[in-house]
Parts: sequence; C-alpha cells; structure tokens
Amino acid sequence: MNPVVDVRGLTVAFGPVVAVDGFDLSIPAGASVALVGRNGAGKSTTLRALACVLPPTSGSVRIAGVDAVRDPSAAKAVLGYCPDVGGLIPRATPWEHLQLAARLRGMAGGWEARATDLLERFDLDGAADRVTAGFSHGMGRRLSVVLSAFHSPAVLLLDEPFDGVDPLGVEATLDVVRELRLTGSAVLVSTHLLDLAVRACEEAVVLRRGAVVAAAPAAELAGPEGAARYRSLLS
Amino acid sequence: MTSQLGPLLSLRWRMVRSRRARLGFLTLAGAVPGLCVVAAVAGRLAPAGSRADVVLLAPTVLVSVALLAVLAPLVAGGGNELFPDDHLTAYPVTARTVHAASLVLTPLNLAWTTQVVGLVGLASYISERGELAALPALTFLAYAVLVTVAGQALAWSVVGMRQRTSGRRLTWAAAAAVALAGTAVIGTGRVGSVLNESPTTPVVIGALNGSSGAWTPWWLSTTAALLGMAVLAHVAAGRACVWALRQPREGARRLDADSVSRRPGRASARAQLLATDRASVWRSPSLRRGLLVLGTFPGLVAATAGLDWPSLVLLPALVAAGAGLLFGVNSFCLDGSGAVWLASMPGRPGAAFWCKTQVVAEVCLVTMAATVVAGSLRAGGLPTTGEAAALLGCAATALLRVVATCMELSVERPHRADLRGPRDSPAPPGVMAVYSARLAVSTTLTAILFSALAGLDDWRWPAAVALPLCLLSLRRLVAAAAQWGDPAVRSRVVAAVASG
Repeated sequence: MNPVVDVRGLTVAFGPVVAVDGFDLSIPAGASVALVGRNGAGKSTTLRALACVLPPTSGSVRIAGVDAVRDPSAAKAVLGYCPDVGGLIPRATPWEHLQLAARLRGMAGGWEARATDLLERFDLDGAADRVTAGFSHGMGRRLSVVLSAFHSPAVLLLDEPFDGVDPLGVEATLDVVRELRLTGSAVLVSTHLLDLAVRACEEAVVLRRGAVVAAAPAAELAGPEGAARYRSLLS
Repeated sequence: MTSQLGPLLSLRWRMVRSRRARLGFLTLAGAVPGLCVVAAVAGRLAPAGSRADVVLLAPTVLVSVALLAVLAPLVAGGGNELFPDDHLTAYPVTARTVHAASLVLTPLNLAWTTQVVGLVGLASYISERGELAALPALTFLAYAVLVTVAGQALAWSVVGMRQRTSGRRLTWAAAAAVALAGTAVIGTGRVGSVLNESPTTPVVIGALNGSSGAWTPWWLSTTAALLGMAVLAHVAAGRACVWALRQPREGARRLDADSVSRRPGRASARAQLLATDRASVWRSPSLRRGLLVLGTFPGLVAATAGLDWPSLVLLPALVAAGAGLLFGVNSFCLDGSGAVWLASMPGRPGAAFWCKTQVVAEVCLVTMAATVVAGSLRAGGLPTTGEAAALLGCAATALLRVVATCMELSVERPHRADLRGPRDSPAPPGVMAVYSARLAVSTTLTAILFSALAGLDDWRWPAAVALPLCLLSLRRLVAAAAQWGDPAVRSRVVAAVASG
C-alpha cells in the first residue's frame, strides 16, 4: 500500500543554517507518527515544509500521492495543519475562521454542523463569536486543532497541539486524532511532551539537529526506561 | 527625560539591522537642520513685497501648527511608541519614560517636521533685516515646543479618559461640540473674525519685536513665557501619561471579550477573504481612529479655508499617502500569526495579495472621497471640466502610486505588528518616518503637478499625464504580485508577520 505521507531527503536551509537535513518519513493510511526532539531540532520547520508553507531547499514530499513541491495547492487541499505558534487571525472570530476555511477549501453546504460539533467538543462554542486576540494561549491552541481537523483531511499535521492546553482540551485532541485515523487519515504530531506523544501515536521519530536519529514504536519511549532512552538520543 | 530612555533608544537603534535603513534614517535626520537653514535663507532672499500680508496671516499659520500638534498625538493614542507595549511588559519601564519616548519621536512625524521648517522660513521672511533677524525664529521654535508638549498632555488625558465608558462618552460629546462649533463658524462666515481673535497674535507681535530691535522686554518676555509654559505643559503631560497608563483598559478588554454579530458566509473564497481583511481593519482601534480622522479632518480644514478647486486638487493625494501609512505599507500584518494558517490553505496564492491590495485601495478611496466631498461644499460652485479632470487624474495617479508603493513595501519589508493597541503602528517608528517621507514626496509632487494642470483648464492635459503615470504604477503593482508569487518570498513574509 502506498504511504499517504512520503518524504525523501527533505532539506531546508536558511543560508548557511541547515534546519532540516535529509529527512525521510513514510506514514501509511490510518497511522500516526510522533516527531519528538529538543527545542530547535527542526520539528516545526519540518512540519511547515510538509504543510507547503515553507519551500524545501531539496528533497521530495508526496502528500496523498500529490507532489507537494510541484503542486502545493493540491497538497494543501488534502492536508490539515495546526501551526506551532498562534496560527489565528487576531481580529477574526472562530466562526469567521471556519467560514473562511470552508470557502477556501470549497467545502459543500452542511459544514456548519461539523463546525458546531468541533467547537462544542473543544469547549469553544461559547467563544465562537469573540475575536481571537482575546483568547488565552490554550484556547488558541484548541481552535488551531479544530481548524486543522475541520475538513477531515487525509493528512493531519499537528505542531505542539498540547502546549498549554488543559486536560479536557488534550482529550478532545486525542479523540480527533483517533477519529481521523479510523477514517484512514495519516497523522503527524510534533511535540516535546513525550507522554502525550506516546498516547497520541504508535510510532515515534526522534529528530536532532535537523536529522532523524532514531525511529521506533512510540511505546518503547513510554515509562522511565523509555524516557531514559529518549534522553540519551537527545544529547 | 528618564534614565531608562537612553538604553531603550540605543536598543531600538541596534535593532535596525539594515545598513541602508540606518543610512536612510541618518540622512533624513540630518536633512532637517539643513532644510531649516535653506528655509531661513529662502525667507531672507524672497521679495519682501508681500511681507505685510504674510505678517497678517502668521497668527493663522501658528493656529494650524497648534492643531496638528494636538491632532497627531491624539491620533497616535498619546504619541508614538518606541516599542510595542507587549515587548516591554517584562521590564519596569515607567510611564514617564513612555512619555519621554513619545516626545523624542515627535520629529519622526513628517508633517510636524515640515511645519517646523515652514515656521523657520516664515519667521525669516517676516522679520526685519539686521543683526537680530534670527530672534523671531527662536520665538516660533519655542512656540512649536509648547504646542507639541501641550498636545501630548491633552492626548494623554484623552487616552486616560477613554479607558472608561463614561470617558469615551465625554470625549465623543466634546468632539461633537467642537465639530458643531466649527460648522457654526463656517456656516455664519465668521472664520476670519474668529482667527483674528486668535491667541497666537501676541506671539507674532512678540517675535517681530525681536528683529526690530525692541527685543527687551517684548521679545524676551514672549519667548520666556512660551518656554515657561512648555515646561509646565511637560510636567502636566508626564503626569497625564502616568495617570492614563494606570487606568484599567476597559475599552480594550471589552473589544476582546465581547461577541460580534455573526454574519452569513460570502458567496466566494475571495469575498470571504475580503470580508476578513475589512473586519481586521475596522476592528483595530488604531486603524479605526486613523480612518475617522483622515476621513473628516482634511475635508473639514478644506471647507474651513474655503479652498478653490485648483487648490482642492492637492488634497486627495496627500490624504491617500496618510491612508497608506495606516497599515498599507505592511498590509500582511493584518493576518498576524494567522498568516501561517492561511498559507497552508489551498487556492491561488495571488488571491491573498489582490485582496490586500483592494482593501488598501478602498481605505485610500474612502478617505479621498470624503475629503473632496467636504472640501467641495465651499469650493465656489462646480469645477470646470479641466479642474474636474485634474482632480480625477490626480486622485487616480496618487491612488495607484500609493497602493503600488504599499504593496511593494508589504512584500519586500514585512514586519510583525499587532495593531491591537491604540498606539500600535504597522512598522517601527524610524521605518515609518522613512515610509512617510517616501510617500509624502511622491504624492506631493503628483499633487503639485495636477494642481498646475488644473490651471490650464483643458481636460486633455490631466488625462494625458495621468495615463502613463497610472500605467507605470500598475506595472509596479503587477511586479509586486509576481514577487509574492514566489514561494520563498511568501514564506519570508509569512514568517515575519507571524513571528513573536
């Protein structure tokens, strides 16, 4: 079976600084992978490149069979991306974000029911018509996850979705990840919270200085032994 | 001045990374004293035939300087800021430092600097020739200092009052009263007699006494009184700033916490993007206030002065430059960190560029139209065909020039800017000074050209000049769109406006 996410030799350089160095990754349908590593390891840059927000310096990225480097718009149509910081238009409301996403993605009528359901599950229904500039960090993170999962994408890219989020928000995010996997979506979660990475994903990839240093079942990074192994991979 | 100001200014300067930008800023700063000297020499060399008339007009000129000195910090929410509020929350920066920084940044306001240079030229022209000819200029400079500091004191007081609902009602009532009084004065044709009673007349008399040899006691007492009042105003402004920044920000909190009415979705993605951009403009306190001031004040001044059509031709271009400076020079900052999310959306990347272009153009058009409509009320009937063509040609040329420059700058030099607070600006203060100089020079030249063409009273001349200039601006706009089409450029813009 062809992988839904297929990355070969992805490199992103900013002048002399190589942020991502020959990154390879393959995620089949219905699978979830955690991207873990220290601050500055290149996790967010990798996700930005996969989300077609940042053009790679070299390498190939295929999203659901689409060459994301050559046809980024087609790739964007089938992926959902939750950026690492903010990711929200400050003077627009959550409902306006969802309206905009529905139009830009050409979603058919009836998207309102899905939008309302997601806002309720993430406890944002009461704030659906408030501008996001007044949101707490956690509320902003939750809304970013809602926006990324709104159109039930074939590929879900979540960058630090649990950062500063309360336990109910974390559970709602884990539920969405589970739900999308069941419908055949591939999920990539970047996080520095190892416990939650283990809960959300079945595979884990450890990134250091922009390169993959280990890939293993996420369960192997669970518990004190897993954490010790993880720490040894970081230094 | 406070001990915190030096390190903050030094940090701000070090944050200007580009050597070109530093050079541009230093050139601009160095040009001001040079322009003052040029103005003084020009005033001295100009034929003295109209001197008596100009002396009579001088008190009115001083009133207009005072109006700008009050209006500029009011529009800027108390004055320009060295750093956005949220950059300094972790540091114990005092309100007095904030006030001192606003004062220090005042010369970055191009209109203020132009007026000061103009005052020096005026003083040079109306003063008696002789050894003491420079004394009136000193009086006028003392006057400029006084109205600048007093303007800040008033602005900080208004900012403090507007933090509460009752204060906002009071300031709206005061603004309405001023507008009504202005309308009554214009309507009853008493503009001249009101200006004759202006308190600036003694300032002009005192200044002239300096150059005529009677420099004590009139010149000395006038200048000393102005400087003394400036010191008092400075103390008052400092206290007003401390008080204003201590007030609970009810207004900002209400904006963030209140729900807005839900509107039905638009028919297309482009229309939805446009609606989002328009809401981003209107929901920003600093942009909303800037729009209101630009949409009303220049028109009111034109109506008060009773400008004729050839003079009215000048205004739309200048207003367009002001409108572009509200946010157009960094238009993608409207998306804030949402720019990253938007960049992950499918569709043509050009749609975002052209939507921003349209919103910048709309803001310019609305303010230009409001100015022309208000000014036309006292322009003395309908314009001739040539005047109408000059007005339209000037408006179209200035609009396209401003929009093209704004979109070029938006793509080439993006900055992170929240535009959330009342004092936020789309770029750092030094950068804004350079941008305003660039836009002002371009639009002023355009305005002067078309004002001269209006005098020819032949519609073909303005049309013939406007067409190539508009095409040139359209070409620049298309080139900026092509730059935006490059994924590497786009990702740089997105990273810059979404950072922090």
